[in-house]
Amino acid sequence: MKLAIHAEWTKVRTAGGTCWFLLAAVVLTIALSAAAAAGVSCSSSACDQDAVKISLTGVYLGQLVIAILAVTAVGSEYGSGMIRTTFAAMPRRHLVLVAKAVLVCGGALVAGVFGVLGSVAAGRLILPGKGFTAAHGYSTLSLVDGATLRAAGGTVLYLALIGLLAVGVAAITRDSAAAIGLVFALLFLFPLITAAVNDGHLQRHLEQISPMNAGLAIQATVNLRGLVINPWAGLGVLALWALCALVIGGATMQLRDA
Amino acid sequence: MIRTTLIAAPDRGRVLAPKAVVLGAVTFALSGVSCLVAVWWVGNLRRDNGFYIMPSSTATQARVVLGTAALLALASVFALAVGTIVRRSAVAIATVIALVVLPYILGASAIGPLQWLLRLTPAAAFAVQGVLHRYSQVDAVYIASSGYFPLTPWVGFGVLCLWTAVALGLAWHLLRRRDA
Repeated sequence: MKLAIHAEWTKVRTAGGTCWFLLAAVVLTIALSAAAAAGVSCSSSACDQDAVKISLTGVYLGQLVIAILAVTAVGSEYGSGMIRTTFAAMPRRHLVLVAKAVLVCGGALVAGVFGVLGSVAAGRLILPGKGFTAAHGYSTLSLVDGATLRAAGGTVLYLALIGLLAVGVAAITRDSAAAIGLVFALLFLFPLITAAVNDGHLQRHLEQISPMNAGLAIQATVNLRGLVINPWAGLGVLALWALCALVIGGATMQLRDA
Repeated sequence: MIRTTLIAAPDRGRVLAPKAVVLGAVTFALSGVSCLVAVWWVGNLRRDNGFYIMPSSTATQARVVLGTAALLALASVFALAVGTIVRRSAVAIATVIALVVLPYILGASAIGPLQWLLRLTPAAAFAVQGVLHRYSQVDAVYIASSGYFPLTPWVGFGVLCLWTAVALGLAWHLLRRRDA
């Protein structure tokens, strides 16, 4: 296992794009979060907005970059034919997938921590000027607050899980382009369909099983009773998606020709 | 394969243009048929289920069907241009989805500044699907997901045209300048 991780680490470290992707994930996350925070305003104590969720909006963009990183970690080897060399050197193929998953997860966690810290800092600086003040019932954003910490930490975990999901999907499709399309379809089709459906029950169920809607329930800090799914249960739904993708990906990798 | 293509057609501008034409035409034809079927079929389905369908003229319905087909065709040409610029399929697909689909998801149910996403990004072109009118005396929730887009249909479509034109121009320039 150590050898497999070491081999994958060498690939990740020496492939040109990795650093840039991680940097892009951090920068885009903070930029969209700051833009979202700059865009809202709260003029009374009844503005009913979730300051923490707003300042973590950037994860919508950050997750796309993490997904690219994860998908190319698997897909580029299939694209270039390198995967045959990899499997010749490491005949226990599931170890290759586990090593890739560990490294993508680690990268996503690092990028996530920086992206989320930057986003919270941006929210802390920008939101009070937009009316999110004590007078309107908002305290300054701080990670000491339990709910804020859960939302911020959960968002980091969300990014890592998206990375794992994308690794699994790429192992299933064996092609970067198909994998990224499939991952984004999983993420975005649910909210699009939910918006088009007007049966309340169906909407609720769709949101409960959607990897993105359920996973991002972890960001909610107000009106928790109104959520379609409990924050941690929502993250669990995404974890299940990721686990299924990894298990199926591992099995197909083992069974199929490279 | 792109190296073989560029040897066969050394005038590289002449490689990009036919790709765009074929891709755009095929997408337009396919999505035109599917939009027509979708509008007719889903409309009937909803009527049968007892929903009230706002009346709209044939011209408006034609605009929605043809406009959506044109939106998809143009989006595919935009994706071709982005693919030519970044030369990596996963990055290209992600970029296009981030520019076309994500703004719609973020902006469609938003009130306030996030609605600007449906004015500035290629997702503005979804306005071709707008059928409902705003009335200043009626206090309703004017958001895109209920059918009220911030731009008029053809202005929104023009935003996508602009994005596609710029991306194609850049792609054409880079394809000629760079090594394959």
